[in-house]
Amino acid sequence: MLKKKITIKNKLGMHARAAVKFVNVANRFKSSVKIEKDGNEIDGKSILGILTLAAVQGTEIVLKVSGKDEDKALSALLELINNKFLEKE
Amino acid sequence: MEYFRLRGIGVSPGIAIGEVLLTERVIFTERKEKILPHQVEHELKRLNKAIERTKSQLTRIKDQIRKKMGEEHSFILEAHLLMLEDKSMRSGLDRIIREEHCRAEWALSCIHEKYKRLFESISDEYFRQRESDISDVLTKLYRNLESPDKKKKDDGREKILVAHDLLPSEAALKLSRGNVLAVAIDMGGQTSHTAILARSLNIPAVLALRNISQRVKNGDYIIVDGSDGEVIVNPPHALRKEFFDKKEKYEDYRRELRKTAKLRSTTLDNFRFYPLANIELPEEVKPALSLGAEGVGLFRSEFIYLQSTSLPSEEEHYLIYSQIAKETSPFPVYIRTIDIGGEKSLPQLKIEKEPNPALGLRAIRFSLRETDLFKIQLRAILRASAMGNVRILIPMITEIEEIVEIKILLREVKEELKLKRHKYDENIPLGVMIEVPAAAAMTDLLVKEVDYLSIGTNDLIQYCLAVDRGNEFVSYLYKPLHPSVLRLVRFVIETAQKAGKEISVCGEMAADPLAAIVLLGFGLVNFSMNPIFIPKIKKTLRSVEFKTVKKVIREAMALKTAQEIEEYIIEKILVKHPNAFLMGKVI
Repeated sequence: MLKKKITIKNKLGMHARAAVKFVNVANRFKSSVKIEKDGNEIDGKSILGILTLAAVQGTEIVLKVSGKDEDKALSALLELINNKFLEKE
Repeated sequence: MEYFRLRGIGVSPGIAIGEVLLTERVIFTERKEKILPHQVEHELKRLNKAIERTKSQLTRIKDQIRKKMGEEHSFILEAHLLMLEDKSMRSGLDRIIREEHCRAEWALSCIHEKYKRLFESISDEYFRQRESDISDVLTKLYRNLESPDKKKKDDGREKILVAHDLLPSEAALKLSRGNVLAVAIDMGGQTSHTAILARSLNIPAVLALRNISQRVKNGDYIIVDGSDGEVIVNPPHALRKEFFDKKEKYEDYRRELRKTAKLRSTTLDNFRFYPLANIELPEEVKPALSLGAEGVGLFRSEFIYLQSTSLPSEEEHYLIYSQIAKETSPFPVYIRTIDIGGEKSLPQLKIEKEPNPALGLRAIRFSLRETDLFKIQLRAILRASAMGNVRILIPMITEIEEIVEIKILLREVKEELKLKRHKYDENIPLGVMIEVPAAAAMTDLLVKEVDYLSIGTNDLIQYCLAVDRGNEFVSYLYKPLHPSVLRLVRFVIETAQKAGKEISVCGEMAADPLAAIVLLGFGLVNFSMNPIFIPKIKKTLRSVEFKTVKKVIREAMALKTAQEIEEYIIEKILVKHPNAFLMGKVI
C-alpha cells in the first residue's frame, strides 16, 4: 500500500466538480483508493464519501492506494490535486 | 368532484383551462414494511431495476442539457450519476434489505435519513447544501421503484403541470417540451427559475399555492389564471364559460400588444424613445425582441451563479454573454456585474450573514473585495464584446474611488487579453448604476468618469425613503412619485444629458405607465423593463405628445405630495390624450 499526505490547494476545495473528476480518475485503476482526513477514512471512489469529507482549501488529507497499479493510480491522483483539479480558480 | 379556488402568486400572465398532470411529491416512508426471507432476492431485483431506470433517465437529461447548454452545465448530472452508482450507498441499501428483511422503500428511507444527517453535521455551507443533490437522486430512485406502467401515463396531450416544486433542470425540460398549457406549483415566487422560464415561454403560471399538489388528482379539470394569481379546481359550468371569455379577451389584448411591438417607438410628436429589456436568462432574448425590445438594458449576471453549484468559470460566463450578445446584436446589451450579497447570498461565495444586508457587503463592494472573481467576470464580458454591442454596467456605486479601482482592474484585464490574443472591443462603454442616493446627489461628478448611467429605481427609492417594500408595516411609504424621489431622478437624468452622456432607467418605474410618463417628461429616452411590460409602455408613450408631457410634468413638480402629483398628471394628460392609460385590463 502507498500512503501520501497532501494539501488541497484549489480555492473551492473538493467540491462537486472536483469530486467528479477525482472519482473518474480513481475509477480508471483497479487499486483501492482511500482518503483519510482527521481520523475519518472514506472510499476514494465514492463521490458521497468525498463530499461528506468537506475538504475545503487548505485541508490536509492522506491518500492510501493499494493494488497492482497503485503506483500509477497514486501519481495520477496526486497530479490532479496538485493541478488544482484543472480549475482556473 | 369538489369545486374550490386557491390563491397564489401569478408569475406569468395568461389563462389556461385543462386537465391536471400531477408530478407527485415523494414522501419517504416511515413504515418498515417487512418481507419474507425468500422475497429478498426479488426485492433486490426490484431495486436494481429502479436504479437502471433512474440511470437511463439521468443519462438522457445529461445528454439533453449538454446539447442545449454545453458540457459545463451537464457536470452536475454526472455527479448525480456517480452518486447513483456510489458503492457505499448501494451496499448500504442492499444490507438493509438483506438483514432487516424489508422493502426497498424502507431501505431508501433509511439511507436518505443517514445522508441527511451526515450532510447536516457539516459546518461548511457549500458542502452542507450538497444534501439536496443526494436527496434529488434518492427521490428519483424512490419514484422509480414503481414500475412505469403503473404510473400515470403522459399521453403527450396538452395538460396543466401541477407539482410541489420543480428543480431547475426539471423545469427547463418539462416546460420546453411544448405540451404544458400552464403551471401550478406549491412553492416558488416571482424570481424562481420556473417563474422566469414560464414568462419567457409565455406559459401562464401561478406559484406559491402552498398545497395544490396534495389537493388535486390527475385528470382534474382546472383553470390557471396567471394574470390574477388564482387556480380554480373543478369549476362549475358557468364559471368555465366566464373564464373562456376572459381567456379570449386576454388573447385579443395580447395580439393587440404584439401589433404594437412592431410599430415605431415614437410619441405623437415624433420624439424617439427606446424600450429595452431586463432579463436574467439567455433564453429570454428572443421573446423580448419579439415584444419590441430594442436591446437588453439590464442582464442580471448573478443568475449564472444561482444556476451553478460551484463557482462558474470564465468559459461559463463567456458562453452566456456571447450568446446574448450575438442574439441581441446589433442592439446593445448592458451586462451588469454581479449584484450579490445581502439577502441574495450564495453558498459557494461564502458570504458571512450580516445584520443589515441592504447596507452591507453587496454588489460592487463584494466584487472589489473578491477581485479574482470580478476579473473573471470582466474578462468574459470583454471577450463577449467581440461578438456584439456589449457594455459593462456596475451596480451600487457610492463614490468615485470605486470607479477608479474598477478602471485599474479593467485595464489589467485588457492587457491580459491582449497577451492571449483574445479579441474584444477596446472602447467598450463603462457605466454605473445610480441606486444609492449619494451617487445620485453627485451625478455631476460621477458622470465625468463614465460613459453612461443607469438609474435603478427600486433600490434608489428604498434607500431614499428608508423603506423596505417587503415590510408590511412601512410599505405604504414606498412611493415612486414621492417628490424627493422625483427630484433626484430628474437631477440625474438632466445632469447626464447636459454632459452629453446616455442615461437609462431600469427599475419598475420604467414599467409603470404613469411613472414612465413622468420619466418621459424629464426627457428620458431609454426605458428598460421586464419585457412583458414593453408593449404596454410603448402603447402609452405612443399615445402622448412629448411637448405636452414635458409641460405637465414640469408643473406637477411644484406639487407637495405623491398623491397630488399623480392626480394632477392623470387629469392633465387625460384631457389632452384620453387614450393614454386606456389599456383594457392591463396584464
